[in-house]
Amino acid sequence: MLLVSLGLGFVGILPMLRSATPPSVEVPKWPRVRVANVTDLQQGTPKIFTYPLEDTPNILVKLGKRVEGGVGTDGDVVAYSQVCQHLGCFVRFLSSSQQSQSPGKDIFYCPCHAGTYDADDAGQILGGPPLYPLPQVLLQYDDTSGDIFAYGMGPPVIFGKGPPGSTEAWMDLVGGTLVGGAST
Amino acid sequence: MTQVQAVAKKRSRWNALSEWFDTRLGLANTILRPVPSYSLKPDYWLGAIAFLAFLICGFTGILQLQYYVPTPDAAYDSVQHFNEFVPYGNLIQSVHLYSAFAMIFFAFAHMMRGYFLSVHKRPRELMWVIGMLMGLSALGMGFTGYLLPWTVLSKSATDISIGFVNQLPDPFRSFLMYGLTGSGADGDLLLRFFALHTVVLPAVIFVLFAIKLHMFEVHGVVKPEGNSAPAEVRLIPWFPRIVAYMLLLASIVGSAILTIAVLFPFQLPAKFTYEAAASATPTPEWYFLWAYQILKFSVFEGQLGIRLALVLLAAIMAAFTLLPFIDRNPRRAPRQRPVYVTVGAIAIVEVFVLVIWGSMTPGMTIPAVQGVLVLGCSALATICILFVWHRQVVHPSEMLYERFLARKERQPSPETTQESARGDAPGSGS
Repeated sequence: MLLVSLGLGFVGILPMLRSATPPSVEVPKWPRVRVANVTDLQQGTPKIFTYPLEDTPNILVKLGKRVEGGVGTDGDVVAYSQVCQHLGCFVRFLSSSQQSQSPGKDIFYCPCHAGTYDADDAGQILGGPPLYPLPQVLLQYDDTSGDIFAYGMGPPVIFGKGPPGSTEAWMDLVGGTLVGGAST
Repeated sequence: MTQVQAVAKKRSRWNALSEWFDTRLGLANTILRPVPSYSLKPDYWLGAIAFLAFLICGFTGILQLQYYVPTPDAAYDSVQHFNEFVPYGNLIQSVHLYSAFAMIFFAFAHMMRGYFLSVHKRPRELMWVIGMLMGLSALGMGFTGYLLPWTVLSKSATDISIGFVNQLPDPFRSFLMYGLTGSGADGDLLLRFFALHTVVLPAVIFVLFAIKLHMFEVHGVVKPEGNSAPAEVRLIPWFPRIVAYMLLLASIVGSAILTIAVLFPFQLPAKFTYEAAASATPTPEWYFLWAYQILKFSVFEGQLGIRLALVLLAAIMAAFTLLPFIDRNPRRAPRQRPVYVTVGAIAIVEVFVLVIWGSMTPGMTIPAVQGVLVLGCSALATICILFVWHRQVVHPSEMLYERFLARKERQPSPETTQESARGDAPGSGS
């Protein structure tokens, strides 16, 4: 009798354990959102915007030189995740004139442990403890209006959204509220 | 009625009242039993002081709970509102902060005193383990409470700690990340930390406290060892002397906390924004600076390094928690266990060195050689000081004591005197 009731109770508890495991979610499509207009951007002055979720910040910056992946009339506007790939602090943009540790380069610099990434070249690591480059925001330029849109993120996954360095960029979309609405 | 009779009558009324309660509560048979006189020294009450600080935290915390809003958008503003506009809000926050500091400091002092005086030995092994779990829960209270005001320093520092967890291999990573941050969104993170800080950890501490208090009542106060051991134990009833003693200690600690809170009121750092976080170097509170400093050593960079460092920190914690099962030497007096006393002294010195050093070098990676040099030198210095102290202070007095004992043994018996006289004879005769 006791064993039976204990067994039944145990079976009854099992479904509740589901609440302790992450719910499976459908991965949404990458949203397409306007992040700025070229006329708002000044060379070397970064702008922070969140994408693809409300709490994943990125830095948009007009570098003043044509780079790979750059958009805009001069092909010099880029955006990268602001979340450092070392331990998840928030990096800041420093132009080549604002810093001397990587001469001639525009960098993203993390104040926590001095991780440094190349803003001119795909967010590659220039120094410090990070193990993976900064994820780049995929941008689109509309030359009639001058608007810049974000429509996706390149690998690796934003720090904290999945196993570090994973190339499964879709994980960026899970666990939070998509910019402009739906929660995932 | 004479004065004496009046006093006697008052007394008997008081006695009747206390007897009425005690017949029903039975406290005089359990936690309010008479206490040995040698325990009326402040160092016997360090744990009680830590628990008192925990209670003050609970009281001031409940007051803050009436105003706090646990969402990323509103948390900072609600704390700021409480701080600036609610009467005594700033004082309550300051007292909460410094009581938390006092709780952690006195818990550490309580632990190290116990370590040196061997309170973890039979039959109190499990008391030690429970006490360590309470201490770790207290650190957890500090860790989770730090995030709640959502300031730029506290949010970034919490992000770093979670960043360490994110570098663990996968079953641990996903499990712990989900446990701490939920989906990973800021709202989930804050809500979980809020629940841990205000419900889960206080409940854990209360339950562990009840278990430990029970064991304490069974095993009693640890008797002092060696030269300071009392010849006879005198028991003192709780009322009025122990109550007065506890009130005295509590008011000293309470007024000290209040004084510090008034002199150095809590100042709310800037609100967390991504812009502000990009230019602030976050540091943990002082009680985590030792771990923070170890994690900054250059050998612990990279994924493998971070994992190694986390294993090392966990091993230190586990070793201290399981100390009764590692240190199985039955002898209790500090001078009879030189190795453990030395290790304990080095641990205290290194904690202080790391905390001060960590506060001086925020965000800077420490080259491995420098780390080894600083830790090694301070350890060596500790060993030297202990050695000199033992030779100059402990050893001579011990030798005196032994000589005194030897003389005492020699003098009263006439036979030994004769023997020694006879023994001396050839020398003196020649």
